[in-house]
Amino acid sequence: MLASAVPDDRTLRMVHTFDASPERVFAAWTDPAQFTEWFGPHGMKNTHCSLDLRVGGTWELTGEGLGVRRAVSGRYLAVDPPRLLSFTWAWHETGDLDTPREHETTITLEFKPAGVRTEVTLTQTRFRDPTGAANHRWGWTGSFEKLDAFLAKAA
Amino acid sequence: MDTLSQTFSALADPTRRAILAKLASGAATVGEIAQPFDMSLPAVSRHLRVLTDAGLIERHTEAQWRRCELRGEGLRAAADWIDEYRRFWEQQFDKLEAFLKRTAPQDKTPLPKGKSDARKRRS
Repeated sequence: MLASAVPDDRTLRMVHTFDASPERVFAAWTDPAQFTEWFGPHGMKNTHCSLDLRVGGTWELTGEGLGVRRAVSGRYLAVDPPRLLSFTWAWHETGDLDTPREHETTITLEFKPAGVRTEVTLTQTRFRDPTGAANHRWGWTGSFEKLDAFLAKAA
Repeated sequence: MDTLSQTFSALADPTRRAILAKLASGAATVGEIAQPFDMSLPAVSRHLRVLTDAGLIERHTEAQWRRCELRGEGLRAAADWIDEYRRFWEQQFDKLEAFLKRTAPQDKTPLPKGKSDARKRRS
């Protein structure tokens, strides 16, 4: 993790190398059937996912587990397979997608080939406070572990 | 349940291992632990209780904050238990090596060099 590269405490930056090609890692983020397999903290199971993969298209996901139901959604800002993906991101007040969205952040993912593997840089900006960034770091850490396992299983 | 069973049972859950991984980078408040992605996880207090009972974490109250911290001794018993089996297998490999040397055919087809030494490879 390149903590030194983080410009401020409202920004989260994480770098993780996945053991698969950029095409496969990009697909894991953009194919709903694959995204639902790994996204979320350990112990959460996704119940619905729809991704309208084009600039301006919306994406949404709901999940449950660990005693909660949660929903998250956003809009794609940039789609350039298998190099770049950018989208807005906000949790809903409850596990229902028709409840109001909370504070919105923006996520940019860069996929760089690293030999036969792929280095992914996640940059999430415009957090309301440093705690939000820290909480999301923990969330992504668990999700990346699950994506590692998913890519190994699917290989 | 004895302590070792309690430790392994506490470790046999991905959420609790994730909590331990988070605490390995420093103490955290219950609030910080309970909010991956800003989700409020009510079940986290139950996981913290299991980890506390197993001696894997400690909870302190500082002012109004309840902080959780990793407790190294809790994991040591589990690590020692696994280590005994590691030593057992090392001995078996040493015996196997001695046996293979003793019973090696006397002709000129030696085993490939450097591939059969488990101890060297491990270090």
